[in-house]
Amino acid sequence: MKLWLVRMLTGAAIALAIGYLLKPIWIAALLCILFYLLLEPLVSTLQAASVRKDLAIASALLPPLIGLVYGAAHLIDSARDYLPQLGRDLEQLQLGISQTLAQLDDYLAVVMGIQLSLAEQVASLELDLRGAARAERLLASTSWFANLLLNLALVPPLAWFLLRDYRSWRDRTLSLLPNNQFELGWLMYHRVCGRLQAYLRGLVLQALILSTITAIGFWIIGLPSPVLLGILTGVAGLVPYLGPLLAMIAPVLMMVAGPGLDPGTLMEIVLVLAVGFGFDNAVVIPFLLAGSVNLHPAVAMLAVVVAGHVGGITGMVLVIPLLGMLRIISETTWRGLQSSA
Amino acid sequence: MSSSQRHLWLNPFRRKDPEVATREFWRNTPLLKDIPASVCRRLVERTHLRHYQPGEYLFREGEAGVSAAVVISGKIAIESEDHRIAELGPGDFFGEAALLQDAPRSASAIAIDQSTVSFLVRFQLEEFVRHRPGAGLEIMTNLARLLVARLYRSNRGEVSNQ
Repeated sequence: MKLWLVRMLTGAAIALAIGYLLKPIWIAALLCILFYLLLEPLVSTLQAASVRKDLAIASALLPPLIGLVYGAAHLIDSARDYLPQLGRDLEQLQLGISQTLAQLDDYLAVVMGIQLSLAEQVASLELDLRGAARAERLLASTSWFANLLLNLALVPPLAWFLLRDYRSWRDRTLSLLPNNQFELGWLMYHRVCGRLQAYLRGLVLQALILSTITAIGFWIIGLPSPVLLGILTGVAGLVPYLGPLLAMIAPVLMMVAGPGLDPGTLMEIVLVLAVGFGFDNAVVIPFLLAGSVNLHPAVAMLAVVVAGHVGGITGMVLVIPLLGMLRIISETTWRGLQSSA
Repeated sequence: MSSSQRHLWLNPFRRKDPEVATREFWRNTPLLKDIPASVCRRLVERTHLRHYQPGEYLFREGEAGVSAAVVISGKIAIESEDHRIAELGPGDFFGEAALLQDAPRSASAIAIDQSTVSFLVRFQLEEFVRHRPGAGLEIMTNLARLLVARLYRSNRGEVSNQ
């Protein structure tokens, strides 16, 4: 086997092993990388204005960290207030779904003469949403919350060290390359990082813009918790191609759990999402994300579906930049091998 | 103690620290001409020392180049299409065109003896310039002057050949 292939496979195996070891803190790692990508230009600008590095990092990091702490505290408060009525709400949601399906059955039977019996079929599945909120399940989920809090607590120190020391870690790592791959390694790193940074920064801005537009829209049409729904829509919008469908789930469930399925409100939700995603597709994606990974739409769509099966929403969001990264690495390696042959 | 006084106490028989030697070689390149010593030190901290065996290629003609280099010790041959163009020794600076663009290397560089070479990578220079725009402007002006001088010499060579 060729030496370069052995080295590449070894590198991939090491990266996979590190990924497996970091699994419990992937939320902290992801947030730190996002903080780094968003704040690094600000730190550079402050340093260019003769601000000391530590002070520049502290000034850039403090406002988003205060926001994160405030958000986490608000989330815990809301969860504590909401937990006692969770069972009742879930029961109402189950009832709302049954009623909506029964209405749909009637409508299909009267207008189209089709007997699907959706309500009976769903009832036969014996969905017990209230059971899902029983004490032992809630206790099991507290370990998840503890892990989430641990991850959030790790974000400030990790982000600080990443902003301060990333460049020296990178330089030391790239210095380990053998002489004949030193320049190729730097070139590859630069291309991959340039594309990846542009794509991830674009994604964050895309989520912020989509969240803002849809939160305002949900507030105008009078849905409860418009900010939360806006944030969920922004996160769903990060999933390429399937985002608009995923974004429908939360507002529709909230409507069913509240006043029940109302065609007028449903149309308003669709309109808000159409405006949000229309702006996203017409303005945000062409200006922020176009060409940053350069993949064929069919490949991207298949990859999103497969990644969703393997890694859930996180996999769906990350698969496109990862594929783009793999493409650049393979192209640069191939060109490097050809020119040194 | 001032730097001139401190100089008196230095052991004249001690071998030079490779970092100091590297810094001195870089300071004497046309790239860092008239750049303050403190700025030079910070830039040279980012360079990479690499060691080569006789016959080992530093880079090959046609490869994408991303760094300029200074020979710290040993001898380096510059060859194009199997013709030796130049032999470089300690303190010689080469490959500066790669600090500006992704163009392929116009010649190959091969170690003649056991050699040590210090590389400055373009992306690190760009980061440095972004962090210190004042010093960065001076460095980029020096680079432009250097490339213009080489272009001028090359044009004169073409005219004389004709």
